[in-house]
Amino acid sequence: MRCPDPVQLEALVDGELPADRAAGVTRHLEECPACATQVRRIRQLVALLRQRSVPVLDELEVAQLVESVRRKAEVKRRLTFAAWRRSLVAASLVLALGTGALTWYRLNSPGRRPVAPDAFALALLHEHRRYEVALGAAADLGFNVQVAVLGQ
Amino acid sequence: MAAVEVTWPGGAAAQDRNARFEEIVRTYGTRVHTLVYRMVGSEADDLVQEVFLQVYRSLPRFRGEAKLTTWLYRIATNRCLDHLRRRRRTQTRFLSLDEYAQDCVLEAAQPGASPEAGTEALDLTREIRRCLTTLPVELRTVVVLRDLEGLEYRQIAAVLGWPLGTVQSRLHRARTLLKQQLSPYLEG
Repeated sequence: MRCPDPVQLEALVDGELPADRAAGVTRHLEECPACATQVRRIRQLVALLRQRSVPVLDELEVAQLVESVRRKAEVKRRLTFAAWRRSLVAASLVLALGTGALTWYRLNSPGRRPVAPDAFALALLHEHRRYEVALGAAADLGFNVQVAVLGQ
Repeated sequence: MAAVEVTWPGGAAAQDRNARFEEIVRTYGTRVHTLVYRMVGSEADDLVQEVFLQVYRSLPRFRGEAKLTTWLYRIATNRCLDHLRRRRRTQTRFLSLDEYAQDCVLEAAQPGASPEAGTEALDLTREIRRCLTTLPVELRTVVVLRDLEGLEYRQIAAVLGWPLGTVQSRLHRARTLLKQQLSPYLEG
């Protein structure tokens, strides 16, 4: 058998090779000192790394962690809510200003008098059902009826 | 990773979020802390809080498509990788010598050991820690998940979102580098 790939030797050490493949590699190790040395060194390295102990959390620290995370989550939730509220107020202001400015522009700009749809909407407001009556009503109110008719 | 999984009697939706969160921290808090500590050292405490804050906020969206442990490990490793990459990019925050020494003493502490054995353990721990720190972050992550946390290859692939072959090749590269650096401590 040819020497297995080093990745396969590691998979053998990690118990990740299928049983039949593992048996073949293990047989190979008995007759190949170079591969056997590689496997031994991988095992030594893993054992060395696993010696490292780390500080563990006790009950009190776990409780403190839970409390701290909850508190932070609550603060974050409030901040997010406040940010949303601020954004909503700002958006409302912009919308109101924009609508006001547009209305002012439409009512005061000589070249931009309200046209047919506006007249028709106005007619509906006055409960007129006939289009010509609506245009008449609009003309009486100073709307640009000529443009409106041409626009139709 | 041990096969213990938190289950939710009556279905996830029936559980109160806070109670679920507390159960998760009680069951997995130490494990997540250990993982984060192994990845970033003494900065672990702050990062663990960030990890669990994300867990708390994402909990209502967790539908159990992945195992809970895989989900937790994914959040924790992503946070650690972000942290390490940011630190590497900005170059503003490295372990100070005091912090480094403190980490090593904590890790090497073995109750009941003689002073000589304690010094040797400290040297070895310091050296292992140094070697791990010098690995590129992706290689460090895969070796921590496999050799220190004991995850299987397919679990690592699920946590990191890498193909299985990438996990194997990166683990091989990480171990090759570590074997070179730690050769005085390895026989043969």
